[in-house]
Amino acid sequence: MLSPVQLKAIAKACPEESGQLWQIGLRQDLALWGLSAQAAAARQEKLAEAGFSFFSDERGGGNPVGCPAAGLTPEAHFDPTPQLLQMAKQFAEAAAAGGSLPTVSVSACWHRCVHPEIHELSLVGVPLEGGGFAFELWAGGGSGETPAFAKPTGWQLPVDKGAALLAALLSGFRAADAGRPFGAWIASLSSEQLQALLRERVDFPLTASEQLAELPDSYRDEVGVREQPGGRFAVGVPVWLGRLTGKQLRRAGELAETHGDGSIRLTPRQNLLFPNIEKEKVVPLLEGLDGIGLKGQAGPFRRGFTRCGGPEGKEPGAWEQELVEYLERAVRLEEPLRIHLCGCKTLCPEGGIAHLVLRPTRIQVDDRTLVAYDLWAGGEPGPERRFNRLAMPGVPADQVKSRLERLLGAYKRDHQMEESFSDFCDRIGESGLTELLGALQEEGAPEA
Amino acid sequence: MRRVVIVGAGLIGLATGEALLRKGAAVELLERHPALGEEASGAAAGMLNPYGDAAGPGPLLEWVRAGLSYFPEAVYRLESRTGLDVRFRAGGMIEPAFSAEEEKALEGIHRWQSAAGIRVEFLSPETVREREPAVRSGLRRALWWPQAAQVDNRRLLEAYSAAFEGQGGRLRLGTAVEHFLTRGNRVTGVRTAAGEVSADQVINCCGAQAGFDRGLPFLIPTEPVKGELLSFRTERPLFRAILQCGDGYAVQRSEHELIAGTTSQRVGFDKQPTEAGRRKIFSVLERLTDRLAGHAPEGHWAGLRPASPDGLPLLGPTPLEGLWIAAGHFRNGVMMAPATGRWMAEAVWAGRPLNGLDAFLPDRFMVS
Repeated sequence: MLSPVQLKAIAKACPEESGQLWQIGLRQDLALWGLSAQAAAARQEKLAEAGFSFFSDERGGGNPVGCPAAGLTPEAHFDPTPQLLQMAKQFAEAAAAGGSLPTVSVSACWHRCVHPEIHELSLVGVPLEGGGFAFELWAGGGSGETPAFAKPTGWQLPVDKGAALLAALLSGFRAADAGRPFGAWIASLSSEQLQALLRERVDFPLTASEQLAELPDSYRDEVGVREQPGGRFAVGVPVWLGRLTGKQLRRAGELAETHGDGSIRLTPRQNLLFPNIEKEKVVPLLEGLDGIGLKGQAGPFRRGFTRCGGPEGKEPGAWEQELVEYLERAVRLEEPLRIHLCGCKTLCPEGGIAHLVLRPTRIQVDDRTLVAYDLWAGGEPGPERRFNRLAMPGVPADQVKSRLERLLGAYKRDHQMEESFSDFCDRIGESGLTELLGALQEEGAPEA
Repeated sequence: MRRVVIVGAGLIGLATGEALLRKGAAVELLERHPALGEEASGAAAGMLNPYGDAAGPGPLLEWVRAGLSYFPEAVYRLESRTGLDVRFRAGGMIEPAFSAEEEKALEGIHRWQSAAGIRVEFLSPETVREREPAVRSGLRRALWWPQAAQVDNRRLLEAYSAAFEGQGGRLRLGTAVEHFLTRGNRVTGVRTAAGEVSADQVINCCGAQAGFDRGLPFLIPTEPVKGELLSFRTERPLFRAILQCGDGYAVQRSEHELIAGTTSQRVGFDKQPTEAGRRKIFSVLERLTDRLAGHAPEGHWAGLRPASPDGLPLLGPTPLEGLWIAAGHFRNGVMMAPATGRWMAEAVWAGRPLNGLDAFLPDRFMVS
């Protein structure tokens, strides 16, 4: 959640003439690339004055990932913002003290756009049968090379006790001195052990959870115009690769101030959400955003494409742009599709669950070293969750678009009623994937 | 409904059976031992090594890279269905170099593996010390594979078996297959001591024993390679990552159990653990750590890894119609079980070998 003051500060930190870009990360954080150490230190000081925190490890920041629609949409159960703020403070303190910290998500609506299924610890807001709400506790998920899905622990807690629960678990973890990361530790606890541990450390009751069915996965990106309970509107716009120039950010901040309450929220799908927009200001806001290249609508490829915000994420996005434009022309897909381009070695969760993942690598062709991509396919979050798998290694960069065109074209042409892309991948199997993603004679030698 | 008989209920057989059940086949799994895990699948340490035993780029490396990527999905599915925790853990793998010669060898490994796209990096002695305080001091550098993981292979067997039976598969322990039944050039089932079992398709997943039916008109050239292992009780975990040291290794299987192994001997079907093997494992451990000095092992056993003449597995149809083989995984059987199961199920279901696995077709050895 970015306040008007913060928006001004980040716009100022990225001058229009610098050509530098801010990138929204998949954990609702912001990164500014291409600075010298000196310039980075100077900007850090200014940004800290505006209330930003910084982190050098992988866990202290971007934690917890929180429901961007908190308190805004009709689908939201309740507003967990107070808990989120307390938890963010806990993380900043815990990160400063060092040690392994979990990845945490907090969701409070049916869409669960924060992807609780892939966090080490997730508080999942649910309605109770007798009225009111609770947080269901999920644990044991994780990203990286060997990802794991979080599982419901079978316990739930009052919605105002999320921060207390996190504190209890962190202290329990430290006391256990388990010699392994938090995710592995908590995943190893049985339901009874977890209950016993928490009973010692919290003063509120844990109750057995009802474990409600999950909604099927869709975009979960908060894009679109939705009416808030009070009659105002929340406007979400897709941001291509999550990248924004200083000018775009400055103008976005101005538009938020002119048409809304001045704040903007970042989503885990690298988009912007403008809350509290009066009905008559929705169209002017969308027009204003369109004027700075933030179009309110996007097709499945553009909308579903994410790019890691890691250290290599600073590379220009021309290749991705060309890829998506090509696929838009060639396939004309209508179904939601998640394509993720990894930009660093530490795989973010999307790398495990996206329908298609492109992991950069290098291959040797004759005596040349070429940029290539390992193509992973078949992942999916949501109730039918599954991890993707390596479907075709080492596809030369210039051949990725034609191979994806074949696979996605086959999906568009041959998929059965309501068959998701991942179900399609499972149905055609490894043989079909190999055939569709493999090299063709006419492709010729890859370009250097 | 297609009837499939699988001979051998190790991880490869169970994973293939489970995948075939998901496709809708009726599957019967026959295991000669009265319990699961009596052969390589139970004896292993559960290391999931991102380069397998590949010595360079090629089909083996591509095969294990793809195979490892199937593991997370399989773990989630099995654990969700059975409620069993298979202790799948991504702790990475470290190989320290204590001498200039070892360091040079690691540099060579680093060079080719980096070029082949495997994530591998050097760690300084300080970093190793920080991550693995139990590792002996005096190392020069260490290689680190962050993609390496481990699983409790015995629990994985249990989970596969529970999932298999939970989906309606029939598991018959203590049922030794004497030979395959044929009519013309087609397999029609198997003969056991308890009688005949007919099937549309038969899959031989007998690992080192895959050549058990000497009456076949072709040779199945898998052979046993003996490996010995020791287990130790530890008060608390000694290592976070898998530790490798030459051809030896140590794996912290659980909080209180550490497994160490080494040796590779071609001594036929002899599974007797030896004093020489025990000494060799201790020598590896002594190089890695001084924390086990004076500790007596709680267990000592040997397993027979199924090897093939060219180091690659045999996956696919045989010259006998309806008879398939999935064997010869050598040290990669645990890691490759989810992928092999899925690939084999797909091939058997489609009735043809799988695209992209040409290098592993059994007919490369099968001169009738």
